Amino acid sequence: MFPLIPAPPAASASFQDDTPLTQDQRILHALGRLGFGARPGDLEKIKKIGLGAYIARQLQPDKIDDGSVERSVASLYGAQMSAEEIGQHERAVLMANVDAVQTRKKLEDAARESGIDTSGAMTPGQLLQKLPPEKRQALLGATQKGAQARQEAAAIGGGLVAEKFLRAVESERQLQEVLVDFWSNHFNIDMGKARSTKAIDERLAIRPHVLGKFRTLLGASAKSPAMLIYLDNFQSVAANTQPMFRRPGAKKMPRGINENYARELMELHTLGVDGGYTQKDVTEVARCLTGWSIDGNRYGGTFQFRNFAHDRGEKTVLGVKIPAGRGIEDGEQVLDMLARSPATIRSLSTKLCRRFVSDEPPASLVNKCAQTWEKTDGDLREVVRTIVTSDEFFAPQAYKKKLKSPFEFVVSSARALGATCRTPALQNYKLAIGQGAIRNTGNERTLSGQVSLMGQPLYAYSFPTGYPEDSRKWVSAGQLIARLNFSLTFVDGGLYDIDFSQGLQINSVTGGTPALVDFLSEKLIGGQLSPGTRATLLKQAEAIVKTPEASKLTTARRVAALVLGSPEFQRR
Amino acid sequence: MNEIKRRVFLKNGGLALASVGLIPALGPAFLGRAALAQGASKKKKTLICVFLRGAMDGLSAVTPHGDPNLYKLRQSIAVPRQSLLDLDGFFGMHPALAPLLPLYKSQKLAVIHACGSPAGTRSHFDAMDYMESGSPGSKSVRDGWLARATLLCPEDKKNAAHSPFRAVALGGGMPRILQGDAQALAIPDLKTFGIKGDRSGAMLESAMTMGGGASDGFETLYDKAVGDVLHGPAEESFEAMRMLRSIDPNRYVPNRDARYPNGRFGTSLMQIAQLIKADVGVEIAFADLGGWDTHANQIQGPDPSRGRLATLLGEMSQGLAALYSDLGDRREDCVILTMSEFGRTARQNGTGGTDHGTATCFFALGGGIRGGKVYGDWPGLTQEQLYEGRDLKLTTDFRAVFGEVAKKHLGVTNLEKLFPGFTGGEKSFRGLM
Repeated sequence: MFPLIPAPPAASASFQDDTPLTQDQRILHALGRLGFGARPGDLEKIKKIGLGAYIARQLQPDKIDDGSVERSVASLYGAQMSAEEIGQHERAVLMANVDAVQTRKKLEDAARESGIDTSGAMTPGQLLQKLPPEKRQALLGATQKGAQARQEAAAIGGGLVAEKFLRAVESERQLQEVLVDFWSNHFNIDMGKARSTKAIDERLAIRPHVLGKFRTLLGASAKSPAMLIYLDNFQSVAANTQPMFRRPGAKKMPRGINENYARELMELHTLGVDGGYTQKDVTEVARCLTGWSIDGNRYGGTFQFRNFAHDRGEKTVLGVKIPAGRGIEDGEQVLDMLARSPATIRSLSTKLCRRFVSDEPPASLVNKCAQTWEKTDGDLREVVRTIVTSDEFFAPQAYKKKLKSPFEFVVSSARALGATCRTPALQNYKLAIGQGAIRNTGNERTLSGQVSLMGQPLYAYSFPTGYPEDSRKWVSAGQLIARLNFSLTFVDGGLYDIDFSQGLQINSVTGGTPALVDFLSEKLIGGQLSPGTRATLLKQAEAIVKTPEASKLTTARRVAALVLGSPEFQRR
Repeated sequence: MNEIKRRVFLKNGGLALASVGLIPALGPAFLGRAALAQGASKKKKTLICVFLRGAMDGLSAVTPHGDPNLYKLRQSIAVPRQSLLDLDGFFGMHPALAPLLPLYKSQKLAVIHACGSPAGTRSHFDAMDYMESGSPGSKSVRDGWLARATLLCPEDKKNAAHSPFRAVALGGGMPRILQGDAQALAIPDLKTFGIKGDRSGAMLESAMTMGGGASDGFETLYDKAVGDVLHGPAEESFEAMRMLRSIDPNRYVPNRDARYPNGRFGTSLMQIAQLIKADVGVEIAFADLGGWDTHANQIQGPDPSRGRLATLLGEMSQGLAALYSDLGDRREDCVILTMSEFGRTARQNGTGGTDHGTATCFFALGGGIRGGKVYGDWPGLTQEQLYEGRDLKLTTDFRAVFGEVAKKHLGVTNLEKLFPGFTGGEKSFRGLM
């Protein structure tokens, strides 16, 4: 969005010339953009089949065998649960929350009776701890029931985080993973609000459609229970609709529309903030979408259109009359219009080029991309093909110009080191994440905790914008330090959900420190280090070698950590 | 150039020796550096800004219970008059703001109501952008106004070697408001702000510490990456880490009366207090608290003084009160200012919440604030008085508030530079200070 530091445009001092990329560089570039970076041996494999063939294959993920990853994913918590089952867990949380109001009141009453100050933002757990033992015992059960329900939901969320790492690190369908990451972030949902329903969203609304028609993807998102919860549309009803059921004693509330989803649908998901809509359009779209809701019996499990809550009056959206008297068709028509609007095509073409090419993508490429979009009626496979086979994509001006997001950095480190996920540890992500802790930094010895420390807690960004695609946003002191610490922790074997037992495999290296540095530079970053960085690595390695406790392994570890933490490795 | 002098000082001051392991981390170089920071920070004024992201419902935070239309517009979500903490017979604080009431009564805390951005956007992201860049309606201003305030602050100008902590954001990444030429520092958490193996207590892995420690290797790598966007932040980080070694955030004990709320926000405020009290030269500090986008179920159950909004107001007020208390004898040098990108609809919506609106209320607390008063003209809540028939109308431009604090507290005289395009000038000031 804007440069952060007085700096040349996303420039890295070492990669500024206009020399066309070498064949190796073209392959490394593709591996870093269509995927999460090279694993050992990837370069050679692609050389053999040809870069063009590799890209074509990545665009057809269904034809790539990914059986072992699928089997690992299937073993994760919640991965095999149906939307209905997840919805039932959420329903339990909802009921527990209703009970919690009662419990909270009882807790506060009990505290007051015991003369305890209850001011300030105390959780029920904290209140409970303050109570005298006999009162604590009586209220323990009620408090725990809610905690258990939430823990269950958090565990399903943990399963989704685990799945994301597993697929990004190990899947052969790298482009698909990059696109799931992109679109899941585009249609961002905060698990802090939508909880485990995000898992349904990613598996059923996003993943199947990332290489399909945009209209299909948009429709799936609009009907995704997690989205309906996150942006409140499930509650949005025609003015003065009365709910069919009301809790006994609940106040009669005036009911009506909620604009939240309608606004973000236009501002963020389609047209863009300058896409030419007005406050009136927001309200009218919200009216069109009244009744787009969820099945309350399986809270957040499945979509349900509530006819009785739909505003049947006439509406005008972006100058187009939506006739009165219809039902779900109103919303479908709005989605048709938004999906095909030139503003949407422009806005999303730019965003895709920003992800795949550079923070300020060349206009020529955005135009080509938009043309393909129009010609194919938003066929995302063809749009992406246009980008990743273009001259602009392989231009020297694009090479190493994107800073990696924390997730990309962590995953590309794991891939560079040839590490694999420890599936049993990932199966326990529920423990690592735990109740209500999704948005916390989590356990620092996990991949997800590390990514959080770098400023990108997964599925826990509270704003519907999602994380920025402009990679310059990832520049800040604290986050950089977290990256350096990750490098040290990782090579030291300090993370428990990643298998790095094979180590750096330096046994074959002979010929002293320079040979070691060059071996690791080649292994981890395809030899793409600036002369200055290489000189620093050599100096550091030599300083370590002189200390009495030094071994070849400790030296190699330090060098490897420095490579992962180097300015060059922060880029893709 | 400040930057060059500072680097020269660091290199000549002995840190070069530290970086090859010849002197311990807390050796003479550090002491020299700390002394420098102390010299620069004597009597320093500090501005602490707190951004309430998501658009705080100002009509619930400080409720105009004396306005005859309020309870008509908000039948089920308005806090009833008898539950409010009355301020002046017209306005009353939400009961969850109880920790702030004594500060209002002792005239340390002021409220500015019907305040906000004249840009008229109801997009969170545009509105935050405008409030942080200080340029409502214009997207061409690329740096944040706190970054500009840092550079325009006279105390800073006269110190050739400024502290890396002069502008800090706690709790996350670099906010838009501090982006720019001021070389601000974003620290997610002071406790984890250091290179592994560098700190006492964490020196376990010999591979990481031998030969001078990995931190020096990293520092050299980024030192050489001149022209890379990562160069600047890295340089600031390493310098700040050296200074932090003496502070030891893990052992910090706040003042006895300061009870920070649990969570990231409370931690960030506590660490701001810690940095200010450690005299490392903080001029501007920033923290934020999200979650204010209360479209639905703003209240919980039948009692409007409970629920999501109440929890947030509780966290905010407890945090601000704790911070003020914890600052101790430094509180006279500090002003704490809250802001939020816009307010919410005057009318409750169909789902027990409120949608995106226009004006809201801001709080100002600390040394020099003429507190105990609700500032601003009340625009009223009749259909005609509402902005576009739906929102609390704005009567105070946020730049009038920020500008007054910047001028009277920090000594920034050049308002045109601070807020490009702002024509209100000093006559827009409300007399807060």
